[in-house]
Amino acid sequence: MIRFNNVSFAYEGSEELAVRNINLHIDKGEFVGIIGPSGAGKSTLVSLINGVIPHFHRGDYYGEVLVCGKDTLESTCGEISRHVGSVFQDPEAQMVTTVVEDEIAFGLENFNVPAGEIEKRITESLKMVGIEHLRHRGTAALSGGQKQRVTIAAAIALRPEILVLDEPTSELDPQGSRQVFQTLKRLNQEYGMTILIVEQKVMLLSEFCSRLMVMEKGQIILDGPVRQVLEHHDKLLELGINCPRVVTLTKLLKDASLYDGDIPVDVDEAEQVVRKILEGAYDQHTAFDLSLR
Amino acid sequence: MKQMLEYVHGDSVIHRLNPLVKLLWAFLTCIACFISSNHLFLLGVLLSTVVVAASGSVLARAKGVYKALFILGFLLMLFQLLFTPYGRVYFYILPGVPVTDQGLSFSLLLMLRMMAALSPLSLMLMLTPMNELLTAMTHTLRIPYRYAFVVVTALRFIPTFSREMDQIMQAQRSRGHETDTRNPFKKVKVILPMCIPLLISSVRRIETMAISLETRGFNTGPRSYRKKLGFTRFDALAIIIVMAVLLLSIIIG
Amino acid sequence: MISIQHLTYRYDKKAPLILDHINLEINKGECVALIGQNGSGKTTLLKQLNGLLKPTSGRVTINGLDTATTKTSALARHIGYLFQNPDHQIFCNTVYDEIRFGLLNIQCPPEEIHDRIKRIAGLLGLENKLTRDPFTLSRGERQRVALASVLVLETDILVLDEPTTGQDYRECVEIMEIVKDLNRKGKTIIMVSHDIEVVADYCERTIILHQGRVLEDDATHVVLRKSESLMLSGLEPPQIIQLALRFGPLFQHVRSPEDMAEAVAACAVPGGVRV
Repeated sequence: MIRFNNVSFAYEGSEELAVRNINLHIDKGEFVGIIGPSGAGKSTLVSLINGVIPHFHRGDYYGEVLVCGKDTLESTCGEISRHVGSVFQDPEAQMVTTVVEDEIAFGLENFNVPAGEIEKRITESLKMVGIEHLRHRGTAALSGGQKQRVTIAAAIALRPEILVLDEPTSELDPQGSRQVFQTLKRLNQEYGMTILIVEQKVMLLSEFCSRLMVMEKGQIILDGPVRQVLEHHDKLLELGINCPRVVTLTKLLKDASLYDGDIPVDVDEAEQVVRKILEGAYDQHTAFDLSLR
Repeated sequence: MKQMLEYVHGDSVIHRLNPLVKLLWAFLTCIACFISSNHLFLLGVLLSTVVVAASGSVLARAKGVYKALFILGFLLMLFQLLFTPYGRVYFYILPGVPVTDQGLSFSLLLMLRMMAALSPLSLMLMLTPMNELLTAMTHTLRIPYRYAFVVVTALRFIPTFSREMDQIMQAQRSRGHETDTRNPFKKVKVILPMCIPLLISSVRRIETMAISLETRGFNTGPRSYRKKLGFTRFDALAIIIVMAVLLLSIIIG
Repeated sequence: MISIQHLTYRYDKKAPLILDHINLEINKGECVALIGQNGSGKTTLLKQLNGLLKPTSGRVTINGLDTATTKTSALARHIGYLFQNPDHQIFCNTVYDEIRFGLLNIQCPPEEIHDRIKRIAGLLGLENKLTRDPFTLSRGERQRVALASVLVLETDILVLDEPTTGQDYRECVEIMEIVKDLNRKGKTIIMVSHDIEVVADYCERTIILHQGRVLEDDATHVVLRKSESLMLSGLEPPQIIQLALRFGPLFQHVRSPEDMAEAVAACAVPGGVRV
C-alpha cells in the first residue's frame, strides 16, 4: 500500500536532511503509530505520503515513494488525495465552511462528484465516524473533539484507502483524544482503512495501534509490533519518549526477575501480569488472555 | 466587532432565503436610504431591519450592531450640527456655534440614514451561510470560484483573528503591559506591537489551511455544487418588498 | 496568599454560571493542579486570579489585593501567568528584549534589569540565545522564552495554563523540572493540565473542577484514586494508580511504577526479591 525506497528529503533552504534513507512498507489494514522527539521528521514522513512533499514544499528529494502503486512525484496532490486522506493538528485551520454537512461536502464538490452521490457520501461518512447527530450543526460551536471528528469525516468522504493524521489530538482534552482514537479504531477494524497517526500520546497509541515506528533525527530507529517496540524501554527513555507507565513497571519487574513474558500495552494486560506474579506463575512466554479485555 | 460579521446558524425563513435575495436586500436598502431624505421613511426602514433580525433570531447579536452604528451616527450628528448654522436658533453650544432646528433635523437624518443603510449589510452576513454565498457568487454572479472563495474565507476568518487578538492582549496584560488602558492614544501605541504575534500565528494557520485545501482537492478541476439555490415564493415576496421600498424612497424623496 | 470566597462568574446576566460559589485558599509554597473537563471553568478560574476576569460576585484576594479593584497590569507584580501558546506572548526581536519587556512594564530599576535577565536566562538554559530572534527557535525553546519573560518579574505566584501541551516529552520534563525547582525555593505554583501523569509526578495538591464547582480538593495521591470523580470529569487516574485500584487495599500506598514494583515484589516473595 505504501512503500518508501531509500527516501531522503531536505527542505528548500536547508542543508540538513529532514529524513534520511527511509525504507518502509505498510500493508493494507495496518494501524501504525509514529512517535519520536520534535524535529525527528515525523511530519515530513506524513507529508511525503500525502503528497504535500513535493507538491507544496519544495526541496531536495531522493528515492521514491509509492502510494497504492503510484509514484507521488508523478501524481498531482489532487490525485494522491483520492487515496490518502489527511488530518492535521489545528482544527480551526481545517474548517472552511460554517455547517458540518457542508464541510463534508467540500472535498466531494472539489472532485466534481455529482450532487446525488454527495448526499449519500455525507450520510455514510457521518455514520462511519459516529456523528450523525452533528449533521446540521454550525461548525463554530463544536468542541475540539467534535471538530476533529468532523475533519476526519470530511477526509474519509472521498473513500481514501489510507488516512494519515499529524498530531490530531494535540489540542484536545483526554476525552476528546479518546473519542478520536476510538473513531480511528472503528474505521480500521470495521472498514479496513489503513491508518497512520503521528502522536505524542504514547499511552493511547500503545492501546490502539498494531504497529509502532520510532523516529529520531530523520531516521526510523525502531519499527515493529507495539509490544516488540515497547520492549526497548531504555532506548525509548533515552530518546525522550514518554513510555506507558505499565511498561516501565514491567521492565522493573523483569529486572527483579519476577516476570519474563510479553509486555502489557494497557492496564488490563498489566493487571494480568501482576495477578500471575502474585499467584506464583512468573514463567516465560505468558500470552495475554485477550478475552478478558 | 467579530460578532457583527459572523454567521449565526439557524433555520428561520430568513435563513432559507436565496442568498442573492439577501444580498439584493442589503444593497438596495442601502441605496434607498441614500435616495430618501424623509425621517419617517428612514425610521421605518430601520424598524424593518429590526423585524428581519428578530425573525432570524439574531436580535441579541444585532443589538451590538445597532449600538455601534448609533455611536458612529451620533458622532456624525454632532459633527454635522456644527456645520448647519441656518434656521431658527435654539441655543448656542459655543460662542458663534448655534444649534438650529434645521441643523438638528439634518443631523438626525444623517444618523438615521447611517443606521438604516448599514445594518442590513451586517445582518445579511449574520444570516447567510458562507457556502451559499459562495455558490451564489460563482453561479449567478459568475465570479471565478477561486476569488469568491478568497473573499468568503477572509470573512470567515475575521472572528477567528479577533479571538486570537483577544488572547494575545490578555497574555500581554498578564505581563504588566497595559492593554486595559482607557487612554485612546496609549491604547493604539500598546496594541500596535500586538500585530506581530497575530500576524505570525495567522500566517501559520493560513499555511496549514492551504495544505489542508490541497489535500482536499481544491482547485484541481471542474467543481460540482451540492446545493442548488432555489427560488421560492418567499424569495419572490422578498424581492417585491425590497423593490417597493426602493420605489417608495424615490416617490417620497 | 490566594483567597477565593464565594466566587461566582458569568459573562453577562443571561449567560449560564461558569463558576458557582467557589471557596478556596492557596497557601505560600504550594504546588496545586487544577483539573477538569473542557468547560468546567478551569481557565476562567485562572483568569480570575490575575484579574483578566473580574468576579460577578464574591471576592478574590491575591496577597491582600482585591482583584476586582486592581488592574491586571498591577497584579502582574504578584502573579505571573504563562499562557498555553507561547506565540501569543512573544513579539520582540531578540530573546533579550523579550525578557526585558515585562521588567520595563513593572518599572524595574534600570541597574537591576541586566542582572535579572542574565540570571533567568541562565536558569532556563537560554544564555547563548539572548541575541536570537525568538521565532527562529523551536517550540520548546519558545516556551522557555515565554516562561523566562514571566519568571523575570519575580512574582510570588506562578500560574501555568497547560504548560506541556504541544510539546514532546523531553521538553515537557525540562519545563516541569524548572517549575518544581522554583516551587522548592518557595514559589507558589498553580497549574492547569490535561496530562494526569504530569499532575501525578509534580503536584502535591489537586483540585477537580466540575461544572463550575469544586468537586475534589485534596492531596494529589488521594484525589487521583477517586475514580468516579475523575470519570465525571472525563479523566482517568494515572495508569499505575488504575492498576493499583484493581487490587483493592493491597496496593493502596503505591504512587509510581517503582512503588508498585517494590510492593509486588514484597507480596510475591515473602521477605524480598527472588534471586
